[in-house]
Amino acid sequence: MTALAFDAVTVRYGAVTAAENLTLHIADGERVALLGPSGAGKSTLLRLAAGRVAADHGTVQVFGQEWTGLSERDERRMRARVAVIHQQLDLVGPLRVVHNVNAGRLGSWSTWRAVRSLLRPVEVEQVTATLSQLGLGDRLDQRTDRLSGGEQQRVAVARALRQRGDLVLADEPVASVDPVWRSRVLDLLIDDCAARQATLVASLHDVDLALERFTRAVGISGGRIVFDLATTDVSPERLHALYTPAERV
Amino acid sequence: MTDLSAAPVDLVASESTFRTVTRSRATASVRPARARLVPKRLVLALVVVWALWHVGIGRRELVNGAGWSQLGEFFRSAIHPDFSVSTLRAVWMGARVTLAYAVLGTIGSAVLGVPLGVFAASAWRGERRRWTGRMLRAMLIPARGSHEVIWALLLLNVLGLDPLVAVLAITIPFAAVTAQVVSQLLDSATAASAQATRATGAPPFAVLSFAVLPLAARDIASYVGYRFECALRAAAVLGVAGAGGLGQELRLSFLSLRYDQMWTFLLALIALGGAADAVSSRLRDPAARRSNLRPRGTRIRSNRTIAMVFGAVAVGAAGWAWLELDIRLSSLWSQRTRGLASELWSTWLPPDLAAEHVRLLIRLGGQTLAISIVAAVIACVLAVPLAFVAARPHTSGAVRQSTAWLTRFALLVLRAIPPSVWAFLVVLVLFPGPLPAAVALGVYNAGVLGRLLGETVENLPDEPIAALRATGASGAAVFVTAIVPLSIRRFGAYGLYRWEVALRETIVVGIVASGGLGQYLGSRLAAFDYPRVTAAVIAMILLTLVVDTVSGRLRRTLG
Repeated sequence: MTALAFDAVTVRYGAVTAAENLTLHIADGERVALLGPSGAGKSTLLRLAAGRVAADHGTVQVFGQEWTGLSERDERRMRARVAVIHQQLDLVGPLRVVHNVNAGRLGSWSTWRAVRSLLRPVEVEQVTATLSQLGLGDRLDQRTDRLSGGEQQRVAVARALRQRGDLVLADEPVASVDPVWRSRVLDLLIDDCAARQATLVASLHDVDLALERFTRAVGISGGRIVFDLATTDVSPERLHALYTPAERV
Repeated sequence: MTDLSAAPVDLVASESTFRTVTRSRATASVRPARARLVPKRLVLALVVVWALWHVGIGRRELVNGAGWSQLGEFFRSAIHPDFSVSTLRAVWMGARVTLAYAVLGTIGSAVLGVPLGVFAASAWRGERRRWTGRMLRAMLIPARGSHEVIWALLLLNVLGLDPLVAVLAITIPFAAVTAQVVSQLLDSATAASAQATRATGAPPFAVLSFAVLPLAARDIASYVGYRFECALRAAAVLGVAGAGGLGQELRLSFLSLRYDQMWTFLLALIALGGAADAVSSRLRDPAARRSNLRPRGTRIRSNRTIAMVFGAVAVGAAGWAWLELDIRLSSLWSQRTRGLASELWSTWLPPDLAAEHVRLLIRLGGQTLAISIVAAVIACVLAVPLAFVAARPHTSGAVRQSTAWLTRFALLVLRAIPPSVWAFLVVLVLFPGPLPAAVALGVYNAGVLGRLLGETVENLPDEPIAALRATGASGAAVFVTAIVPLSIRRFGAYGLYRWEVALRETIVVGIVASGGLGQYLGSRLAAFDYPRVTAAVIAMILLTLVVDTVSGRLRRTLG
């Protein structure tokens, strides 16, 4: 079954084209890396999939449903199934780490449970377990904006892990994490998705890491797909062409 | 009216900078902030209880049941304001005077205050010359610490009845605050870029023009816009005190119990205030009102265009106001002025600092403090819930949109009625004393605070909120887990700013026999007892200094 389908999608921001008549289908349980230079349109694809940007033309379907036209209730259900790690982290800075991680559960919790958890955190064992795997087991009670950039990014990953989404969208999930943790965090994300047969779509600047850990690579430039291959088939020449600015008009 | 505290915009504007600062300070404190705050909270609670007790709550009869019908009559008159030709003519004349005061006061304070602020900032001159800035800031304290009404009284004694009195009464304290805010803004918002540029060996003026002013220009402009809004309210208050314009008309119709006329003048004040709010929030509006759907290519008008438009409007407005008020600078150094000034010197000095008088001033200062605390508490209690309703909602439901609009209008009415007029109204239903003074200041400040807080909510970063929505969280869950935690500290900071402002404003509600330094000052002035007036003014300045320091400390712990 198809987890995520872009069909003839076009998105323009003023004069900038972020997606140009783009078609891409991703099956359930796939592990896809989006590659490409800055401004190629990777983030836009992820935002389209997360329902945060609407396409000017074409359709985007998640689990066979479009974001537009969903009732409020169905939209919330859908959002609970899609976990997103944002490039700008988007954590609630003044809240303690434990709350930011538990925020991943908000789509499944009742409002009452959410309020109660703010006063007295619930499911602390699970939060501790997730954070420990990310090397932040002792940071539960710290204010999130007091953490370093790399630590905050790991909190954002923890939030997405807690959400247990069927589709996980990650926009540069390890960009500000230090090299030692980078591959461990990525492995954790991949293993978690594999164990739950969830689909993972991530944009990555670290090409080597992407080719090593993912099964399918999609190269994007100027809002178009340049290649769509199994990671084992991506040649250095293709990568060079993808990242060479002359290619972009 | 007077927002003699460092204002909000600097915080709003340089928010991103503050965030980076806190982030880099990062891991130093591992202990959760919560643990340290608990005893402080207890102390705060006790202070509030003391203040409530002090203004008479729980100690004596406070409500005057007989006055409700009159208050009701006042509000019923809102339906049928007096639109007779003579009243409308008075509105037209009064509005021109009030506006002219505000325009000249704002421009004067910007012309004086911005360069002073730039000079006092250490960002562009390096740490070594910090002391000049410190000295300058210290010299500005008395100017900042006195309310416009005090300045007006002082100037009245020197210049006599002259339109310059009101203009300078606004200009002087506003210039001092502007200087303070500008220097803080430069030091906090541009420290990193200034340091980086200094590190290249650039001389101070190069640092100033390359790394400091370009970053801060927009914030300074928006701050001046905000000051204009405050100046309009100050002009109305000065009017009530006798300087002419809408405020004076308002007072005259109140004294003749013409509520319908009062509403006509109030409507004019509301209209002026609404227009000023709109202009100033447009200036403040981040051309990047952050929306993740905002097309990335959107053109943002260049700084130079904005500066030229801003400058042209300012020059035009200043010229009009100058002619309108028929300002003659010659009165500043006329024979008579010099004579009155030297007379002032000999009659007002030395202040009466006899031990007995000092003890009295300390007791009165305590009363004033209690009034200001209760006023701030009332303002916060009213403003915080209203602010969430008033903030322009993301959803487009007609009901939600119109409640928000109505709430914003209600807040506008609350702050358009000058605090001294509020005091007249409150004292209809509360027995004279410190409580009606506190209520009047509280209600009025709720109008100002509600608007600032509402703007805070509107300007919250979209990303964390959208990220939580993306998890499928309900609107209510997003509200408690993102909107409240993201705004509550800023709310605390604004609440404390309003406390500083309320303290200064206690001067203008002394008319309701509030006790405290305000009433005492009024009675000593009426008795021409100038050495005691001077002592009371000094006491007031010292008190503002103490409150500003405490409030600044508390704000810092809010992080």
